[in-house]
Order: sequence, then structure tokens, then C-alpha cells
Amino acid sequence: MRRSRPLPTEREETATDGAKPIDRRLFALAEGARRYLWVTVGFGLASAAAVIVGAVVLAGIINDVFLGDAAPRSLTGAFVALGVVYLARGALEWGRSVSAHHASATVKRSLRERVMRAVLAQTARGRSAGSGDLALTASTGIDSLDAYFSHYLPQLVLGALVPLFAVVWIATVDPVSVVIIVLTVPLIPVFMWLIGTYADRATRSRWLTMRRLGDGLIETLRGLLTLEVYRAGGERLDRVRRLSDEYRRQTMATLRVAFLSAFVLELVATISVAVIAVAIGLRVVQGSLDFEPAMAILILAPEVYAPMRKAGSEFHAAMDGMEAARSMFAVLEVADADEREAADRLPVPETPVGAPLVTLSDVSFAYPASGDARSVPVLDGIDLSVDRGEHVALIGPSGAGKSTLIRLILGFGRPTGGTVDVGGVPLERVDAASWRSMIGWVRQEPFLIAGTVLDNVRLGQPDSTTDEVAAALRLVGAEDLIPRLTETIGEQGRGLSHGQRRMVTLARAILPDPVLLLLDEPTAGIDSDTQLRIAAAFDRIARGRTVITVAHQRILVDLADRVVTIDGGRIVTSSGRGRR
Amino acid sequence: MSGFRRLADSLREYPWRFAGSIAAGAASIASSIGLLTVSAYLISLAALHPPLFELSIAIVGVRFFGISRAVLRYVERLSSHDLSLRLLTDLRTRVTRAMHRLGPAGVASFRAGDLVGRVLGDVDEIQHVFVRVIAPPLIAAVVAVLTLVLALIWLPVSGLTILIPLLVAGVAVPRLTRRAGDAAGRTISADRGRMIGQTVEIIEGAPVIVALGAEDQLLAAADEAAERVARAERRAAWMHGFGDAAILALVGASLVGTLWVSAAAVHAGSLDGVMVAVLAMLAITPFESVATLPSGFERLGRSLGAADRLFEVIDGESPIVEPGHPLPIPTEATLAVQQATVTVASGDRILGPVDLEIDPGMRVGVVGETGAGKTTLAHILCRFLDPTDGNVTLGAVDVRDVASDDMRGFVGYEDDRAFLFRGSILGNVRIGAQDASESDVRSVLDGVRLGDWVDGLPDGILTDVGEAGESVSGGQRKRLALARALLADFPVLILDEPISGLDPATARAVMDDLLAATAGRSLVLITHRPIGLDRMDQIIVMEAGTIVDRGTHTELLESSARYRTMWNAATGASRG
Repeated sequence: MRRSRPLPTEREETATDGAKPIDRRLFALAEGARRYLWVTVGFGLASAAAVIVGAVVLAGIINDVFLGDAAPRSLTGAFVALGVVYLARGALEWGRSVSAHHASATVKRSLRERVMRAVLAQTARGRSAGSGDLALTASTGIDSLDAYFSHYLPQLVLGALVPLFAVVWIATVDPVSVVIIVLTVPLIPVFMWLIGTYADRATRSRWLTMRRLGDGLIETLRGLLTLEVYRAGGERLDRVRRLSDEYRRQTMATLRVAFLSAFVLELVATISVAVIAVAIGLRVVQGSLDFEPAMAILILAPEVYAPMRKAGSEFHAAMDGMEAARSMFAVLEVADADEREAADRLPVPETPVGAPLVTLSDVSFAYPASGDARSVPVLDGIDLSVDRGEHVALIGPSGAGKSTLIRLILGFGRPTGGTVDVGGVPLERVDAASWRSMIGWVRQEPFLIAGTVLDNVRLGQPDSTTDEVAAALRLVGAEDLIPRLTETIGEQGRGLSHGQRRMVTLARAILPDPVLLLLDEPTAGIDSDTQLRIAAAFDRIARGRTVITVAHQRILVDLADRVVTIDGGRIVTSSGRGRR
Repeated sequence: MSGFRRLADSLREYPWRFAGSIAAGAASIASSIGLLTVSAYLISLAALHPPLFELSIAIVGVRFFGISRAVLRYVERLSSHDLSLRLLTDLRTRVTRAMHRLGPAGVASFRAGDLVGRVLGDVDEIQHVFVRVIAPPLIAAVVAVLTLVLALIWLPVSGLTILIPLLVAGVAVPRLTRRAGDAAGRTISADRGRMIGQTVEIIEGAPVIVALGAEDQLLAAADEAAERVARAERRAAWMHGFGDAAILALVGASLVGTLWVSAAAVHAGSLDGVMVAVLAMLAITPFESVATLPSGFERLGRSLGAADRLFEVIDGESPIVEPGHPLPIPTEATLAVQQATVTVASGDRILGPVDLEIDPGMRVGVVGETGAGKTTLAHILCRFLDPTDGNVTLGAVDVRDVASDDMRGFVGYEDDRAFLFRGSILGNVRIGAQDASESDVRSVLDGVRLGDWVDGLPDGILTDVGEAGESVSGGQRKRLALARALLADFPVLILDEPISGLDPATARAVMDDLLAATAGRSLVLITHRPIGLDRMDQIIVMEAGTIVDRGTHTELLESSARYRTMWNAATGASRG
């Protein structure tokens, strides 16, 4: 990915702790949308000008009718002008909204793409980035940025421009009113900031309650069977109501303060209008100010405060969008940091049959500790060497570290201790992509994309022919899928049985003719017929390859040259077994 | 009845709060009208250079409306939010109650993931209906009446010039935005769905994609979908701004029209010139009440869709009918299934006909592939579901004549997930026996050999198991589920895949403990693994909803090819 400019680090941001009217990181993202943002500002400027022209024309008409006793017909030109101004204001508003939405659509698209790229890049470097949470944020959470880009940001622009224009114009007719405006207008951003900092904290705590509420409902739904079996459903109902009430009370407590600040804001705005009205009224009586400019100022005064107040009311919705964006920034920043540490990578060395292909020396692995808790090592001093052409079965209780070992061989994550060598070269110095292109990996949960069976088998090998795909399916014993190649299967393989999904991923792993096969429980959780078919195809699949299988089923274990038992992150036994 | 009507009806629970919130909203806009008209009057009067005291009433008025506007706005916001949160609480409770009534069998008819989304997303979406769709038009109506009254007092004809544009802004414009919003929603949603699917796919399948080197291939596909969505969103953008633009144009119409008629009236001598500015302000300010209508109605279609989906759950038909006069449940009796079938709404028969007798103390093994009807059989045994045809009896009593609550006390069921709730081990184990003492809980934990494990935990029996029991390993979870079932002391216990996902050694250990601990009670063991089946009194083999073979383990190895295949696949005995 061509990066344009570094994003500020997380620390810089959290140092200020609190919501800010504008987040620079979002601007960095808005690159492609900058054109639309400028157009939005342009429309905003024109709108601000139209507001002032409208006020002046309106004041002129009122003056002529009231003090000049003009007949309506003599003012036709002014009436037409007034109508045109309002039509123009409508059109400009419309244009502003369109360009703001364009900006938002563009930003969302580029952010989504960058997050996906960053997740893939991080995964390739062995960091796990793809949590379910992130998937949710990147898919639907991003849409809450709409509030930021299409409503809040343009409103903020307007909130800054209209008062500026209005003050400049009013200064030419009545400097005294300018003093009042200049004294009161800055109060609005100050209050907005106060509301922002408070509301931000309050929003977080409310998020917590809401999440607990959501969790409570989800738990009720997931555990419904248990609740009903143990006749605990009624008690649960009380709990949902109690939590919901608590949420309401907490929200109301937050809102009471948030609205109180909004109330002060509103009060500043309306009282300012009232003060201006009274002040100019008194000066009109004294004759120090003419009626016409006085009227124009009165019409303009509310317009000075309105856009900024409106921006204030959009602030909360915009902050929700920011909250969603935050988790994505974290991913992007790590990816950016990674990009900087590019190093020269070696090609994977050729390994003759019988020589060690993968060697793990004293390998330990622990997931990063969270908080104060010590992290338990998943792997602890593993020594294992697998020769090219050898077939090793890994067995051991659930959670013993077998899948972690497979992931380390794939280069997803580096060992916390010891080394993983491939063909005698440390894995981290080898070009990871070319190493992985030599591996066929079948993991426990089959991953299928929405598309046809054909698309799925040749994922990563888009140039493979239909015949090659059919041959791979035949090899793994899934002849029944060959007539269904062009059939569309839904998200996560809907339309295929568990066994068929496994067959598809197995065929996919075989298709590029890999040197090393990593099979993580290839027969777990599928029907016995498919299990038998996979077992029957096993010899064909494994012939001429290096195979590491994680298995519980005897049927696969029996086929191995060597059985390695892992328990508690250590190798407890390793027994050679001649192939019969 | 439409979703909208039902939502509106739920407001009847809170008539005073509702009326108060509308009144505060209308009064706040009335204050705006007051503030600007009185200000205009003040300045116009000032232009005539009257003695200062003549202005004083107007000055007081300006100050009064300036303050009351802010106060009323505060009251309105607070009361409308409080009301909408109360409505949400009610709705959440109704959904939970519906889930309770539907039970697991009824809920299964809504796709599970779908239902979670429904409950969370839809309940929140509905918030908008009250705050942005029901309340604002009512407030606008009150404001329109007030405007009309003022117009009639000052210059009757201005009533027409103001109210006609106001009516268009309040009725026709929202109607248009609603239609446009629905149309845009329809066009975007399919593309969006595809794009979201691809995003989730890439993030969740990242390791596989990287291992296959398929990054560019999938990113290109995702980018294409994203571009389509962005294009559709840009098209839809034209509609978003329309409402605001239309309302500004209508304000212009109201202003020009009103000024024209007042100018004519002043010129004709029928209106005091002071009132021109006042009427101009009256022509502008009421539009504040309709300003939020277009955007509120733009998403009304979406909100009502959410309401319909929620009401679908709330109205969901219970899969069992409670008897009017429930019979007492026999203390010890044979649980029997006679010619029972279950047919789902689509007309497909998912079970039966099935015959099965479970005598007190008998152990029955149930085997079969996924989708063979094992779970449905369990559901009719514990009465989450009544058979479409045939009967389930308990001794001489048809279970349809027994209260489902009593039935639940008789038949216990643990499914393969062994779901644990957040909270302590103690709380989880005594979920079905609230009055059990701590020592009772300890002794069942010892019975499933969790005693030492529990003692080793930081807080012992009070240790929190974490969200959905995530900090507990598979084997411990299965044992905990067994412990709570034992403590609840069901005469008949159904265990669905109690050893699935466990490695062979752990599975064997759990099975041994399970069989020892349930000695003397009726047990239905649903499994696809061979462990423990040789110790069953009877095994039934299910396929496509029916029982195809039955007998003991040794008999079936002889007589049933299906059973043999299964056994062989699981043990690897057929290799040769």
C-alpha cells in the first residue's frame, strides 16, 4: 500500500484525553475526499454570504413598507431578490449536503480498505489483528463516521464562517453589537468543549452499561436452553428489566448534565439575541442607530448562534463515530510501524528429501500478558525436527499447544524463546510469502468465501483450470463436488455439509502441489462417511510430501511415520512407527 | 396492526409524560416565536421614538422569552429522552419474555445470529421513532395552531401565506423524503450486504488468506464491492440534502407572501406599520418545528422494518400449549414416545414417526449424523416442543396435560455447548436448585471430580467463570454442566454430546464420571463418539428423523451396517 503520511501516534492522542472538535487522524484519512471537503467549505461560504444578503434585503423591505409606506408593487424587485436569496440558500444547503456526503462515502471506502490491508499485513507478520470486534467495526461501525463527515464537520465549518461574515458586516453598521457578539460567541466553543470532555467520559461509562445490557440479552438468548431447563427464565426477565432500568437512570443522569450544558449554551445564545435586541432598540429610540440596519442586525443575530449550536448538537453523534474509528486507528498505526522495518529476506533454501525441512529448537511461546496477569506459556522448550518427506502426527489433549506449533511453522507469530528454522535458515530471515506458498494448510474451522466451489478451491491460485481443480477434488476423495463446481455457496459455506466444506479446503491446500502439508484435525467434527473418505485418500494426498498432522482419530495417527505427543506445551513422547 | 400503530400504542402507558413532553416542545418553539416577534416589535416601535417606558413591556417580553425558550427546551429534551428510554425498557422486557415463552425450540425457528442482531440493533433503532417521528409532528401541529391564532389576531390573510408553506413543509416534504429514503435503502442494502460480508470475510479469514497468498485477489473483489457502495451512496446523497433545501425554499415562500400581504395592508391603511417586522418574524419562526421532520422520516422505513422484525419475535407462536387444568406429574413413571412426528412450518417432517420407551433407571444411547433428528427428539422429551402427531406420555399421563414447568423438573437436558453464565461457579452449579447449600454444591463437584480443581482456583467456589464460561476449559465446562444437572436432581437426564470436543483421554474420564454419577437415574446419551455406548441398555441409531436400528452395542455391531461404519470411522479399526 502506498502510504502518504504518517499518522500521529496513539500516545499523542490519549495525552489530551477527551473528545476534540476535530481529530487530525481523520483528516489524514480524508485525503481522497479533500476535494469534496473544499467544495463543502465553498458552499458554506456562499451560504454565509446569502444569509447576510437575505437579512439586508429583508430589513430593506420592512423599512420601506413601515417607514417609507411603499406600495408592494414598487418593491417587486426587492421581493424577487428575497425569494431568490432563499431559493439560493436552499440550493447551497443542498450542494453542501451532497458534497459532504460524497466526502463521507469516499473516506469510508478508503478507511475500510486500509483496515483490511493493515489486518492482512499484520497477520502476515504474525500479529493477530483480526478480532471479531474489529470485523464488526470495520463492516458496520465505519458507517457511524457518516455523522462526523456529513453532518458535524460541515456544520462546524458553517458555525465558524457565518459568525465571521456576520460580524464583519455588522461591524460596518453597528460596532456596539459587534462587541456583544464578540464577547458571547466564544462562550459557545468553550461550553462545547466543556460538554465534550464531560460527555466523553460519561459516554464511555454509558457504553459500559449498554454493553452489559447487550451482553445480558445475548447471554439470555445463548443460554436460553439452560435457563429453561433449570426454570430460571423468570429470574432472568427481572434481570433484563433491572439492567434496562439502570441503563435508563444512568443515561438520564448523563443527559441531565449534558443537556444542562446545552441549556447554558442555549441561554447564552438566546440571551445574547435578547440583549442585542434591547440594546439596538434603545439606540434606535435615541436615534443613534437607524431602523433599517437595526432590523438587519436583529434578523442576523439568531443566525450567528444557530449553526454553532447545531454543530454542538451533532457533536455527540459524531463522537460515536470517533469511538468506532479509534479501534481502527490502532490497527493502522501498528501496520504503519511495521512497514518501516522492511528487511532483506532470503529465498527458502532447497531441501533434499531426507534432510531436515523444519527444525524447532527449544521453542517456547506465550501470548502477550493482559494486565497484571502472568501469561501461561503455551509451548515450553519444544525440540522437533521434521525431515523432507517425513510424516509426523502430533497428538495430545485439547489445549496442549499443537495448533500454536502449527501457526509458528507458518510464521504466524514468532516464538518467545528458541528458533524455528526452515531448510537451515531462521524463519524470520526467510521471505514469508514464498515459504507459505510451499505449504498447504488446513485448519480446524474451514474458511470459505462467498462464491462458487471453483472459486473456493482455487483461492490463491486463480489461474488454475477447471480440470486442475477437478483433479484436486478427485485426489482428496470429493468426486461428488466436481459436478457442483459452478454452484454458488453462501457465506461460510452455506449449502455445503461440514464434511464437504472440509473437502473443499483440503482440495484447496493440495491444488498448488505443496511441499509441506499442515493438517490441523482434518477429520474432527465431520460425519463418519467423510472421515473414512479422507482417511482413504490420505496415502494419495501425502505421497511425496512432508506432512504434519494434528489428530485425535487413530485412523490418521496410524498412518504417520512418527507420533509426537504434546502435553502442557512440552513433548512428552516421540515414537517412530514404521510404515506398513 | 402495523408496527407503527403498536409503537404509538405503547405510549399509552405514559400518557402524562407523553403529553408533558409534547407541551414542553411546543412551548419552547412558542417562546422562539415570542422572542423574535417581540424583538421585532421593540425595534419597530423604537423607530417611532416613543417615550422609553412604552418600550419597557416589550423589553420585559424579550427577556422573558429569551429565558423561557432555553428552560423549556431543556425540559423537553429531558422528558422526551426519558420517555423513549422507558419505551425501550418495555420493549426489551417484552422481547425477553417472548424468548422465555418460545423456549429454545421456538427461538430456533428464527436464525440464531439474526435474533441477536434483532434484539440489539432493532431495539435501538426504534428509539428514533418516538423522538424523531411521533413527537415532532404533534409539536408542529400545536405550533401551527398557535401561529394561526396570532395571524388571525394580527392579519388574517397572513394565516394562509404562512400555514400553506408550513403544511407543505410538515406533510409533503417528509412524505417525499420517506419515499426517497426507502428507495435508496433498497438499492444500497444489497450492495452493502455484499461489501460487509467481504470485509468480515477478509478480517476473520486473514490467516488463511495470507497463507494462500490470496490477499490481492480478495482485496480487489472487496474494493469492487466497496466502489459500488460508494457510488450508490453518492447517488443517495442527492436525496439527503433535499429536505433541508425544500424547507428553506418554503420559508422563503412564507416570508415573501406574508411580507407582500402585510405591505398591501399597510399601504391600504388596514395594518399598523409596526406590525410588518412582527409578521415577517411570524412567517419564519414556526418552521423550526418542522426542521427535523425530513431526516426523521427519511429513516422511518428502516425503523419500522426494525419494529416489524421485533414484533415478529414478540408475537412468535409458542411451540407448546399449556394445559388449562394441569395434571400432577407422576413421581416415577416410564417416559414414552408413541408414533411421534414433528413437522415444521415449511411442511418438512424433521422427526418421526418415532417410538421410544425410557423406563426408570434405563440408559439409552442415541447416535446419528448431524440433522438426523436427535436434538428434536430431545426437545419433545423435555417438552420444549409438542409433537405434531403422536404422543409423549409419562406413565398414564399425556405430557400435554402437564404444566411445562413441572415437566422441566422431571426431565433435565444439557446440550453440547454446556453453556455457563457469567458469575461464580457456585451460582452456575445451583442454577436449578437455588436453595442448595454450599456443601451440597461441593459434594456434586466432588462427584464429577472438580473438587481439587475448584480448590486450586483463586476464589475457590466463588471464582467467576468469565463471559460465557470462556476461562474454563472444555472438559471442566462439561463437568460443571453435569454437576448442575446432578444438583437439580432430574429423574430423567438427557445429555447431548457431553464429550464432544474433548481429547480421547479426557473424554473417557468425563464419561466414566458421568456414568458413575448418574447411576440409578434414567439417562439419554446423545453422542457421535463411541465412548460409553457399550454401557448403554439400549442404543437407537437415527437417520433422517427416524430410528433405523436399535439394540445393545454388541447387537448393533452385528446387525447394523451404519453403526459399524460409525464405530469404525471413530476407532480406525477398519484400516487394513
